[in-house]
Amino acid sequence: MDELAIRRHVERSRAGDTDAFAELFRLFRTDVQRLCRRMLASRDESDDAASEVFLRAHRALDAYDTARPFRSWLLAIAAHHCVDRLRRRTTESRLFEPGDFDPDRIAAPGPSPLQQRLTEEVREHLLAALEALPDRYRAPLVLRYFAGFDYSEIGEVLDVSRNQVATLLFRAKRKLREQFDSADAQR
Amino acid sequence: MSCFPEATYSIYVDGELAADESRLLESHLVTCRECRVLVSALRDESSLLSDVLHEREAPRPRTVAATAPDPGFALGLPLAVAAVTAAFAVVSFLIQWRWPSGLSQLQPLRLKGAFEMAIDVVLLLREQVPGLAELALALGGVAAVSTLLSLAVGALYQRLGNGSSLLIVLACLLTAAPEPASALDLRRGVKEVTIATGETVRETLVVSAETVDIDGTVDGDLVVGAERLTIRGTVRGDVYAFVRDLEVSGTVTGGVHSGAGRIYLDGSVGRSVYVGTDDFTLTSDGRIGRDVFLWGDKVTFDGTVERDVAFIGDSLELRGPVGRDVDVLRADRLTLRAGARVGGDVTAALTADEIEMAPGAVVAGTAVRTALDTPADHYWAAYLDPGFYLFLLVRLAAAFVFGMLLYVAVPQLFPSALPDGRSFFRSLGVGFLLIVVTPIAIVCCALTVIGIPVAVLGAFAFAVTVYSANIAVGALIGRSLLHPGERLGSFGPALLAGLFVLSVATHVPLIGLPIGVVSLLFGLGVVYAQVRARWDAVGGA
Repeated sequence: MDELAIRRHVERSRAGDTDAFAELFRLFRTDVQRLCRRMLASRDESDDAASEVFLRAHRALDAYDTARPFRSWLLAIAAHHCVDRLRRRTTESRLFEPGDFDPDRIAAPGPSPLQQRLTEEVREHLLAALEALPDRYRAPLVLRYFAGFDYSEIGEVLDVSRNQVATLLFRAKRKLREQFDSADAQR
Repeated sequence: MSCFPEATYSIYVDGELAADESRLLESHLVTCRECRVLVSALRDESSLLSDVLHEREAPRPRTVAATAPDPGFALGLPLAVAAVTAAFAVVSFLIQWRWPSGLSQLQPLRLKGAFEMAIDVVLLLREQVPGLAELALALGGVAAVSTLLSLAVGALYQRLGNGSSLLIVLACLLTAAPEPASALDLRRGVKEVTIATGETVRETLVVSAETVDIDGTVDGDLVVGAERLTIRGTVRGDVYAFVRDLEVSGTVTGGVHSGAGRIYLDGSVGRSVYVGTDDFTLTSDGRIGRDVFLWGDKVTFDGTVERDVAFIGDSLELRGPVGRDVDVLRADRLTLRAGARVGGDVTAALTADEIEMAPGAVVAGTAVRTALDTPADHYWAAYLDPGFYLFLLVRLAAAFVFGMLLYVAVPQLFPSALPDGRSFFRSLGVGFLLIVVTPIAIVCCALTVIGIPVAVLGAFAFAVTVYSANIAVGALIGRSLLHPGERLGSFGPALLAGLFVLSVATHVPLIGLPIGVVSLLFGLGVVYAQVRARWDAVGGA
């Protein structure tokens, strides 16, 4: 569906048309559910989270700026909500703060980038490795490679600077490679 | 110029590097082959990550390690299986055991006075709480159908995730809804409903009252819930009656289906009689056009049965002619008096002193006694027959072939890890629910006109599922014994081994039957869980 049609649904939803919002729900449910699923790494929690995201979106619909793509606005709400949930899991308040960006400190050679062909098996193991990542690394990866957020958007959601986003993403990928490679070695 | 750190390339690949820095980096890439390779690898990695994250959810992992239960719970499994099997064994022993004569009413299948009691309860409820029986019946049917439908609709909705699928389901439901009953005459009376002599009801008559007298004619079927039903006139359709006393001295052209305290048949029934009753009498003027299937206490036949008699109950006494075979499936006593003439064979699961045959009684075919005189012989007799083992082998081979086909078609149907004690009980519960609810739902579907194809398909699917249930259990046993891989070649021997173990276990004397029942219920639960997991995995986010 094109952005224009979506905008019409948004306008109608704002006017109180519940069918229009149901249509938006139908269109984006899978995206939101999947984002929650990846961010939270929990099948049980993701449905609940997705429902709450739509509830929040419905309430915040008046504040939506139609110049922005609806999908990215909705996914931002979902991302914020998931981050809230992740924060609730831990007592650490600075969950996503990796310290200042310093390319030299992380210049030491690490495992090389993942370059596997995407077979069913690789996919399963990669997803398992992703799920096993600590929340602080999994969240930016999902926001970048699933939601397609840029560094500023990710920084806004995680409440960190762009440089810190870069560090988080870089460390996350290294960690993921390590876990994937060690799991690979065990097989 | 020296190479940039990998982190910088990573930012560059993400398109987030500042413009001037990007230019610097790109000019380096022109000269450095190593860094070009790194950048290309980082690009591939990004798209790999993006692909994986956008993919649909993978099926739940099938590796044993991932689903193996906690050792504590795994230990619970043998305990749970043993406990449930023991419970089933006790019940089946109570049913099979020959009780001392004074205690025979304790036997669950004997049902001495049970019909009387059941009818008392129902009639009492009908009197005290009018409409309760009808309501309970309707609610039971609706509950069974809606349980299965809501499972299906829920799954469809989750899978397709949009309103149109719901519309389709709703449309299907509308077409499946029962036709309004136009040819139906509903009558309710507190005391008496009478169809007087000369009066004719042109359609199916449904009556609920204290006493119902049919002196006239009913052209359709007759459905009655009452204390007492007397048919002196004519019913051209079938009779369905739940009554304390049923007396037929007129004519029923169709069959009689009834649960009753006493049945007195003095007239003629055109087709078959299926009844459960405490006391059944077919007088010398009475005639049954086809077969009789009786579950009762004390049964006397003076009149004529044109075809077969099948009987489960206490005592059967024959004084009149039976056109074909007499089959006594379970009883304490069979008596053939002087007037009895059986056109076919008499087969009775009785000991020699439980059968009495008067000198004037005639059996045209052979009289076969299947029960042995001591219970111990009964248990061992089958195992001495070579045919029994051949039959077992054929069944094993059939199950194996079907199981392999099933594995090729839907390998996800077979769980790879043994469940723990808790999920064993859960599967058992689900299995029990399915085996109770599904047949009720199928019958309810069949009762609606357009529902018949659905019911036939449902019955077929149910039969296949029940058959698959034991195969799934066999595969589970085989896998836990041999730990095969996923390949067909290594799954085959495991399945065969598992089916063999299960087949032997279910034919052990005394506890074989309970093991079979437990395996069936558990297997149904397992199949349901696997289908459900597969469905969630494919349809979920």
